[in-house]
Amino acid sequence: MADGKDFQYPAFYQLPPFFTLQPHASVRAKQLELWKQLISEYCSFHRLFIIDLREDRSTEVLTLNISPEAAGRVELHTEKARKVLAEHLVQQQAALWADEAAKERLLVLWRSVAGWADLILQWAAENGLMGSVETVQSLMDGEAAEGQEFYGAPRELIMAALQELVRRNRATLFRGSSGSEGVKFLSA
Amino acid sequence: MRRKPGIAGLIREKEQQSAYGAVGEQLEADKDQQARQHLETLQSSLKSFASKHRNRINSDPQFRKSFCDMCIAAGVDPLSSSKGLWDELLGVGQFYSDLSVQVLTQCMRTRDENGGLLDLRQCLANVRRARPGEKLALEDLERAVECLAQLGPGVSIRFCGRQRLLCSVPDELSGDTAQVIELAAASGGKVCAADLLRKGWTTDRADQALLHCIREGLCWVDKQDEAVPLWCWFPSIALAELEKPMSESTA
Repeated sequence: MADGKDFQYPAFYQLPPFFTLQPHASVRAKQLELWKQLISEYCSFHRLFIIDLREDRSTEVLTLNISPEAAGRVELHTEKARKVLAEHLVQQQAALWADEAAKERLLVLWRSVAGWADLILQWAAENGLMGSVETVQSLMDGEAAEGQEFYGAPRELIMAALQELVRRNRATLFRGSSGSEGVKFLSA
Repeated sequence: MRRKPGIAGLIREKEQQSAYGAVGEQLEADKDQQARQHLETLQSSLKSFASKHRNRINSDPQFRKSFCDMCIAAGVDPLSSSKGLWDELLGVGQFYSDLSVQVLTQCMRTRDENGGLLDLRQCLANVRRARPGEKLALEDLERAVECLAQLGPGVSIRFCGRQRLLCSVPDELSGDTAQVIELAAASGGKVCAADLLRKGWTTDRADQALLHCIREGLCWVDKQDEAVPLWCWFPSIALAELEKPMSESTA
């Protein structure tokens, strides 16, 4: 997706306070909005699907900074801040928990689940896969899926999109005898 | 022989006075009329000047400024967009009227992030982005704010050291708050308690002032500096400083 240009960070990214959770309600709301936009654009630009909130595995966007001013203050400060941001992203449907229980990894939805579902369905239709059974794995790394936007996406995202298709009665999911997950696309 | 101020004398004096008065009034009226004529000639010159140089007035900030100064010297309000006499002034009034709406929009749009304090340079950068291809200078914004002032006290320009801030904070800024902002404006937009203590403030006073700014949403906090427990950042000033090389030029 990179067109040779570097990712353009928003102006606020260069100010150290951007990385401290703001106490004032409307300032905080503004801050979270800015972070949501940054994460969405950053992940879209880099085709990054997952953000790991654990400190020892911090994802670039939360830690990287380009301003010498902010050097030494390299990350969205404190666990609380990350948690608040994560909750905000999920609440705004800009992300999903990749792990509901542990809540350590975020699936960033720079495209909505519905959007991903549309893409997969369209691909299935164009490749004559209606009525046939595919493994979920093949959607992630199969030859036929190569070049598609969803190629290489994490399992959690594919499953979320497929579940959306199930809701629309355009697919059924099942587990095969070997234990692998499969999906059957249904015509409208 | 000395005249005695008899009644006749008094009457004569009175007549003389009113004669003088009449002459005086006549002189005043003449002066008035002359002045008025003078003004009308000047105004009509301004009108034809505006008409002839309309394009340059609208496109060249320096020229525009000089023209406005000329108008003011002639006792004419260049910001007035009312019709009639100034039809020929062709859009100078409208120009500032439109600009003032944009300034107000910028204040409203950035309110959440800066609590109502918008650095004039940042405002200029934003407005320039919204009106690409047009040449705008800081003075234009200042005049636009004057336009706004005619509608009410909502937006004003505060001078903080060398910086100018558009202030749309609803309440009056206290002296202490104003000083905090001024100190921040002189150091790239940030200030801490220690800075205030260095100015002779007590710890209590410093803490209260900073707390007030935070509570009013005027600044963002930074708690990650090991050397300083709490920095207060005025985002608009800081952002304007970041953009400095670009916005300094008015060309």
